[in-house]
Amino acid sequence: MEEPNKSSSNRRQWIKAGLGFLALGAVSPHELIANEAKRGKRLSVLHTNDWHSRIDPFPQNDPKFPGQGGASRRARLIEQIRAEGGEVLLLDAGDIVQGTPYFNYYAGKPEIELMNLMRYDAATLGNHDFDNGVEGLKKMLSWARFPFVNCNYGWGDTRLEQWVKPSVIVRRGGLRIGILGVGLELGPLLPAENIKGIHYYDPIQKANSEALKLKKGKGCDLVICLSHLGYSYPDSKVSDRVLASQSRNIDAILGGHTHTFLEKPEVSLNLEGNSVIINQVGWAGLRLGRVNWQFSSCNNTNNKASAQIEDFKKSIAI
Amino acid sequence: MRITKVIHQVFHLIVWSSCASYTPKSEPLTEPYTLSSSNQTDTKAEALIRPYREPMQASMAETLCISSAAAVKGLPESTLGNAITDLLRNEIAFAGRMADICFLNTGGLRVEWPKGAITRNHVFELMPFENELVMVRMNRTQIDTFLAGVAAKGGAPLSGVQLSLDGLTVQSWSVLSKPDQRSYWLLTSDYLVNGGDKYNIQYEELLRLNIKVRDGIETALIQLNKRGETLNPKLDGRTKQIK
Repeated sequence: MEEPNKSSSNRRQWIKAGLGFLALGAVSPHELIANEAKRGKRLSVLHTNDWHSRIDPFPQNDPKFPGQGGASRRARLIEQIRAEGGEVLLLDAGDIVQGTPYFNYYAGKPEIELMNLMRYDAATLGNHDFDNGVEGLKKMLSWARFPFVNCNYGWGDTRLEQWVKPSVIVRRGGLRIGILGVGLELGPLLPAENIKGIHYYDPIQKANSEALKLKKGKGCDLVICLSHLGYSYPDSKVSDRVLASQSRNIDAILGGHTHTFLEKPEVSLNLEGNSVIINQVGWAGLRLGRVNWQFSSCNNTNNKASAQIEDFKKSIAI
Repeated sequence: MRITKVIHQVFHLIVWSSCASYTPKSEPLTEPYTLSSSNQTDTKAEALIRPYREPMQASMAETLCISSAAAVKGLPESTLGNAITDLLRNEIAFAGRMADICFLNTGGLRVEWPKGAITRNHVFELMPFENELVMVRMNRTQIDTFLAGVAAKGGAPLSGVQLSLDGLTVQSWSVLSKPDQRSYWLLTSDYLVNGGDKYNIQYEELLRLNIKVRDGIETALIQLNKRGETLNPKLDGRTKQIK
């Protein structure tokens, strides 16, 4: 499943520029154009997790987060970041719903509509997204104008495979970004009838095979894993940290579930000694994570990820 | 045809070798954005939310009871866990029966409560799940097993039991009301009795109260308020580490 290239006008210019090669009748212009277009590209990946139907800010008398959060503020901040120009990707790592009366009343509709408004590009599923069972989840998915990804659940006879793909490729200004999703074992967390027919497979094995397909098979420039495994556990239970260390071909794991407020994204090493960025931004829509990627020209083959918050502070009233 | 193929491949080679694979390299990364009252709001989002918010508002804003202090989470016991489990154990009866023990899981209490007015909204946010209340009669061995699970998590919201922990194991326990009974009634949720949050609750007899945990909490708060009482969250050493 691929999204149409949002920068198609930009791409058309490149196609014109590439007509000289076309005249040879030999080269497929696509790779050439795509690679040329990557020179100096900058991609900002924004992400949330576990917002748990927290549409309104916490009340002023909340013991922990007085007056903080709020979907409307997030929407505005995202608009401000988009207005800077540059390519933006907006992602969520699951547990969109459950936690305020909005979900009891409306079963996830305003949450999904707000995500449509903010122009989310993809999300993965958290355990609480199954709180109204498979049928409740299907309803939520039907309201979404963005794809959901998960590659380690088998859907049995639920037909959820119509709605949830193992991964998607989003194209942005000549870049191909592969986004896959992994989720935790649902059995211990949910009543059996909510997840009837759904099978859990090893997230490490599935994520690696999906990432290989995206990076080597489909030539993605960047592969991001949306995870609802949890950041880290005291035992050997699979988590974002465990996945990162046992992964290949994944550049970043943007996670959820453990409601971990990481001060900054963390850098881990994968099986091949390449770095994997891990991040998680607490819960309840209190934070918005941002990781920037620089796609350097061919002479300098490394992409550089940075979150240059100082620059943004100058250009945005946070 | 052959020549075009060759040229095609040559160009592919040039293209790919000149700009082959990108190996992502990370640099020091920075903190996320924090959303607070200094952020502006978005008019489109506000317009989207309003028709959803308004029908709920009157009901959700209703004050059910007053709390004399903030109720927050913690281990081995917490003001929040103590307040909620005491509330249910003292206020919820079923067929004239009162529970000896009330137990909920730490993860199941989803928010903390402020000092002052407790509204219906607070109750929904504390317990958004549709789980129902059950009472189970457990013998002492079954309680041993269950409390071992509580100890393994470093404590849990618990009322009616004096529990001493030695690290993540139980040193001793006693039920405050009737120390030497053969069995006790435990008030909890169907979710936890069914093995939720990996608890192991075996029992001799089960009674379904047929009310949601959330509605039970709401009913209990209203009863308390009608008597002119307040919710009094406090720590009292009911669960303690011996070291």
